[in-house]
Amino acid sequence: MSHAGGQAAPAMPGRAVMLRTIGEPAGLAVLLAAVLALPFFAGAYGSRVGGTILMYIALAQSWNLIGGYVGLMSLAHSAFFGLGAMGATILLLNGAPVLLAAAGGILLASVLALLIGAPTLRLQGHYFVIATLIVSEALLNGARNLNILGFHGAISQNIGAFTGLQDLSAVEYNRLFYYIMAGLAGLAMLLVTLVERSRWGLALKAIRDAEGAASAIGIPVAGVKLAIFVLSAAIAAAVGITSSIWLGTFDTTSAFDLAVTFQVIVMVFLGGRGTVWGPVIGVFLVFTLNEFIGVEFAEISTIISGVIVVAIVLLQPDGLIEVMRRGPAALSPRVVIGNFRRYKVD
Amino acid sequence: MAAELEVRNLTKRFGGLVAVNDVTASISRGEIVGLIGPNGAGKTTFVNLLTGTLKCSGGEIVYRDRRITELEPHQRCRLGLARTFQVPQPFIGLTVEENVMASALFGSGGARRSMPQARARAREVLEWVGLGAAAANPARTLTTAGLKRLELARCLASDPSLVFLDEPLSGLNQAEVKESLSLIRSIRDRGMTIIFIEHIMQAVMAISDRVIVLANGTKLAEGTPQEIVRNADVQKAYLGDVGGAVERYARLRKGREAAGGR
Repeated sequence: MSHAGGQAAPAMPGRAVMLRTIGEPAGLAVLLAAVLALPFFAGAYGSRVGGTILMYIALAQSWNLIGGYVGLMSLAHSAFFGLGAMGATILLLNGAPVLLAAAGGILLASVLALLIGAPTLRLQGHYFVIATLIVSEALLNGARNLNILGFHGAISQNIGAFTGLQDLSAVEYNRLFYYIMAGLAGLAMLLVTLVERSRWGLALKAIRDAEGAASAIGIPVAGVKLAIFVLSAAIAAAVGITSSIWLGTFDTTSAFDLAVTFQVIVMVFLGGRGTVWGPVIGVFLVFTLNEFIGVEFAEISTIISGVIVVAIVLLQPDGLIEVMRRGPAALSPRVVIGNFRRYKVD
Repeated sequence: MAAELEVRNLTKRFGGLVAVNDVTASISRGEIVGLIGPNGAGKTTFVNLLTGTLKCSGGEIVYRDRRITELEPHQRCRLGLARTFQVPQPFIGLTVEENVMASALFGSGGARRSMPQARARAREVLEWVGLGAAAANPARTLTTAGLKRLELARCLASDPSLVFLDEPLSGLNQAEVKESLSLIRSIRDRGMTIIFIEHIMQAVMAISDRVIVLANGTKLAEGTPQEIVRNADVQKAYLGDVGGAVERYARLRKGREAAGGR
């Protein structure tokens, strides 16, 4: 190892390295076992809550790919969630088997992501954000007015009767969807981990930090951005399809609800964007806050959670994962004030 | 000597402004070519056209007998063209080493490298430019001189054969200028061709084999450093006709702002 590596070593003592090499796989195995075992201890309600948390982990990670790693604040995430669900609904209503309907929904969302991404990803900064906002509003309104193949966007569509899953008991039914959501969350986590460890992680972060320089060192910027945008949309669509089938109804307004996008963005920012575990921490934080504040301080819950979100974003802009990584040092007044000063406009 | 780069009638218009006007030039393999000219002469625009950052309005660029006029910047990089930026553009979220690794992975030598190989290549290049000790530091902690070196390291790690340096010495002190000059010579000694924009005339005269002078977007003169300092047109472009130059500059600025602040 050259002296550069030697310099890095004091920041990470030998004990910590050992803990990482032994602790990491062991910790992951325990976590995985806990996730897989949960439905057998928690019953139907536990599976519902657990499945919803896993659903948000999948959504947060898929947004993290485009928003965290490439730094593109896409507001179209809920639109792809909705498009996937809508595509699957139309196919289900016309007698397609569940898996085919799901594949069709993912295909629809991916193709639209390709068509939307090609022009909008050329836009810089705020223009891209506004464009994705307009796109998601337009898609919502388009879907609401859509009347084809027995699908009516203006009313809730019952799809529970078309999935062939109505004979399952409540426990079995919720357990099934819990595992599907766990699979999607695992897939999203795996993708983010692979990206993080490969050359593509460097490429995405390079594009995020300096697009011109990234392209000058040989990174095909436009192609990479489009690929990640479509991949991110495809996962959002798969989650949307699972969610609406689980619910048994498709409702355009709630499937295309922008609030989902914002909630996911808040989760990713709170936990730590552009990291593997940050979004997971963010999801748990938001769920915990909602449970606690929503119950204890119901009337002013949004005010309180708003203040907490603003405080964390201002004082820990890299997310709570920084606190986990660096321990109490990340909470020292010097660091926190330094973080706050990063927002100073000069 | 074989031609590394042939530029034929290259033109770039921003709306009504012609920033680069019908420039023809030939660069030989292994040369160091200084690109000089008054402010607003079109030097950076010229380099941006050659590297693909900007698309040209007319003309042709041929690199090693291959027409590259229509290629994207990343495609040109993979063929062996690399550049630095006048204002350093580090990937601030990455470490110094990761900045250079990205280039070693995606540049013209990138396809052959695994992650560990790219890391080794990054280390090697960082040692070369004198940033070895800072490899593990976040790029955002570098000083101006450090950022200039990082620009150079990132450019070199892509294994280029033709290197564009946009004002590699600006913002450096005397000692740093001297070090950078010997660094630029060492780039050539490794067989690369160099085109560099610079305002520090002593530096240009010291290391250029040939100098190309741009003024108002056109090629004003071309020759050895000795020929250029004696050239009457060049002297006039830099010193004479001051009133006209100011007026032209103001026009140029206005045109550029209208074209999107480039």
